[in-house]
Amino acid sequence: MAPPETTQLRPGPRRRPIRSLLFLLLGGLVFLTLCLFTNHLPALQQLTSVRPFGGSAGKSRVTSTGAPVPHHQGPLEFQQLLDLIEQEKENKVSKLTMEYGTNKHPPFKDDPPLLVADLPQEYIPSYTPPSPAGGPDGEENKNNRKRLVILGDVHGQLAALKALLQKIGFDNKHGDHLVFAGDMVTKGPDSKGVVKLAMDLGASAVRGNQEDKVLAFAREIHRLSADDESRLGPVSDDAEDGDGEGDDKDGEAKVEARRKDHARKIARSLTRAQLAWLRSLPIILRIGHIPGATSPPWNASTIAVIHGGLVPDVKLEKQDPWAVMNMRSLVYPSKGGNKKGKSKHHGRNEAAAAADNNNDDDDDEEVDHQTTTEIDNLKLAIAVPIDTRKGEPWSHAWNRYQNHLPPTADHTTAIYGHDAKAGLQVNPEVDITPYSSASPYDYDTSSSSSSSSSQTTKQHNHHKNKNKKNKQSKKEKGLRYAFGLDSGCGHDLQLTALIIEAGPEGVGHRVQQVDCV
Amino acid sequence: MQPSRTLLLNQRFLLFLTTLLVLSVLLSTAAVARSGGHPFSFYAHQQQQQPQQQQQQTPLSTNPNPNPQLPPQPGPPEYKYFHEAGPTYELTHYDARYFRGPIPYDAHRAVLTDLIRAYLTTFSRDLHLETWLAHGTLLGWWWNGQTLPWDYDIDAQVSGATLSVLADRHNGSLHEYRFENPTTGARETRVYLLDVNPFATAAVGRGEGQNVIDARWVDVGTGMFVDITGLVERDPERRPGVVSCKNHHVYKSGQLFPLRETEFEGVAAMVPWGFDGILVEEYGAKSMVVTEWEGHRWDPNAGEWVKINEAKTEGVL
Repeated sequence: MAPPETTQLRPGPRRRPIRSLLFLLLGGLVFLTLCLFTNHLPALQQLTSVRPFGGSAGKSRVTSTGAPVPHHQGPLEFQQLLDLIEQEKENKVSKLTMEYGTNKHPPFKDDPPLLVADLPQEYIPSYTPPSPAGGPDGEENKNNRKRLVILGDVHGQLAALKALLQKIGFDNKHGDHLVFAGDMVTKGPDSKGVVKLAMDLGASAVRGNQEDKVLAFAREIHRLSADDESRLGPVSDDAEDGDGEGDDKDGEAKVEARRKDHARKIARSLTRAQLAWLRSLPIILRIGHIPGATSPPWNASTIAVIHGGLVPDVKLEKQDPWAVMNMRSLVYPSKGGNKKGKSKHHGRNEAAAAADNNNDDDDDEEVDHQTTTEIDNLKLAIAVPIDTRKGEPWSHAWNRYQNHLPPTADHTTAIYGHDAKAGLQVNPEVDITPYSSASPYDYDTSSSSSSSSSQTTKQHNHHKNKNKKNKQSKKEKGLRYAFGLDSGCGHDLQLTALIIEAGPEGVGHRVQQVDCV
Repeated sequence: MQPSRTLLLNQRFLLFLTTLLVLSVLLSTAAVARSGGHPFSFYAHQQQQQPQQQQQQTPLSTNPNPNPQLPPQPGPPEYKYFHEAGPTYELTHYDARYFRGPIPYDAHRAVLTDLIRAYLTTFSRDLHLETWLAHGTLLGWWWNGQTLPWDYDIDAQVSGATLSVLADRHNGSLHEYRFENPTTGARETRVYLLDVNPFATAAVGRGEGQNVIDARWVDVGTGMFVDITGLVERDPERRPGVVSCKNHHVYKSGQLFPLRETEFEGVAAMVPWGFDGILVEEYGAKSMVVTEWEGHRWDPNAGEWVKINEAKTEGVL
């Protein structure tokens, strides 16, 4: 028998399909192994985009859209995906029903007894003409005039406060009454002295965010001292929130660190009676109609003193306490969906806020753009108050709203503090052009660097429809119904007083200032 | 000699094939095991191994990096510590160890209510530790002081120091919560487990994203839990006063402190100082005004989120 051939075998034609099949099988096996391998190597996961199950599915989403946020896709894909999701959500949002002010969160332990308190009648400014016989000591000025003196943020600057009171000839035994618009404490050298003076003078006041903070610290001190296993707090727990300037960069953190412990120290230094007085202050002080007032804004049916601001078209009793103490601007989540956003809760006069129609959203082509000047009863866009300056300054929205009310309707004049960056806002004429995120907003020229900050934030928005709307370049002027008195005393600038007084001609106001050094 | 050639060919091929197969299986298993995965295991099987394995790990669980300024000590290869009952959205809200079946919508709110009440009262009364509401739970507090009906878990935060104390002294502790059943009026007891993640160290970043939850308060009867995340100052030199959790939620400490004392689900609770800004940043301003969401409608008169397509007045707790 011849030995079997050991030379290279050439597979017959029948072998070819089987051989290739085997190779295919091999290849498949190798591929599967590769998959298994890369599945568990983090660096290679970007290629296979497999996500380990069970990772917390994005705590930043309240809802689940059904697909958990992928953690391990490539960065570019991820960003595109995010953009898509955001865009979808924007389209959905503009069609959602919205309502502001109907939430009911539980009260805080430090809540004041009253959200809205009324100024006692005896302090409302009035003027009685002097008796023909003449006053006994020639003091008829003071006897016959009751002045209301409203102060901006004092921030512990006792010397400046005293100087200002002296400058205006304040005399609370002869009819003058003092009202603090919040933030009497922190930042300055003598918060305790300011509180003591306020209490001694029998002044009225509203709670500001700094009072709120001091009260919260006082409660914290009390809470932690009660426990043995006390403060397990964070590393540096007293950096302030920056008063809305925190939307600047982190360099602010160092400035904040300088003011470390300040509010807490003040909380510790105040007496129980002083803390109780602070706690008793309302959030809104309502001054009723001033008799004898004939011309706006002082002939308004209500004058409200608050620290931060008010949301237009919402009753005083329905305002959110935090918002009233902290707001600086309003954002409008339903941009472009003005007509669809319903304002259900109060169905009376609605002012024009066609602002949102001017937005760069092409979806609302159907909305009639000429309506701004025509109708005054366009539904008000739902506004959400925030403590940063990213939205429309609330005072602008307020002025616009009050100016668009029918003359016979109830107007409300607001006097506020809180916004040192905007500074003093008392010019009688204001800009009430509808709000568009594309157009920068000018603050009152009497303040310093405010307009620059608002402009930089608006630069990022595109101006697609700007040319279409001629009225954007035309500025609408109106009367001021919101007076801002924080002239930066906390930053060693000025302390301002707004004096409302009644005279033979009616009711008017004056503004006085001193330097805070 | 066709038959012998065929045989030889087949044999060589077979041998080659088998070797390749065996080698690849070995290699992949080795690779997977090395990187900390668990090849060939299912979740139920895994759970039984976990507790034993955890004990044998280095003492990270008892002392999460006490000094955040030190570089993180090289620990054991990270594996996912907490395990959820399954991959679907619904099942991710149950702890796999105590899961006994999904709880229907109508019953889940009662479970969550007891869960958060037990959590808050235990922390304040028994443990004397500070904790505050976060994320979806904070939004629920804002709307009406209750959990949002479409939420199936609770979110809370603690400071890094509190987390250390939890790990040191209360890890693995069981707590009884006695209450009165609102419908039957009977006195009932629920038991909760406080479980701290061994990878909840202060300095470890998000890593692979498997252990972003630092601790859990688990209802051993149902498997529902409170997700507890710790906020730690990660970069005291360059970013002082800035704290964050492992899931990249960053806050200035001035936004959190001083905490505000309030209520949630009928018991004392705390929320951060700047709760409004935190909510707007996380969920957008719309989250505070939209009145229809996730199949529910906000009823302003009742102050409740009511499920759409149901009778107008749903009997809630």
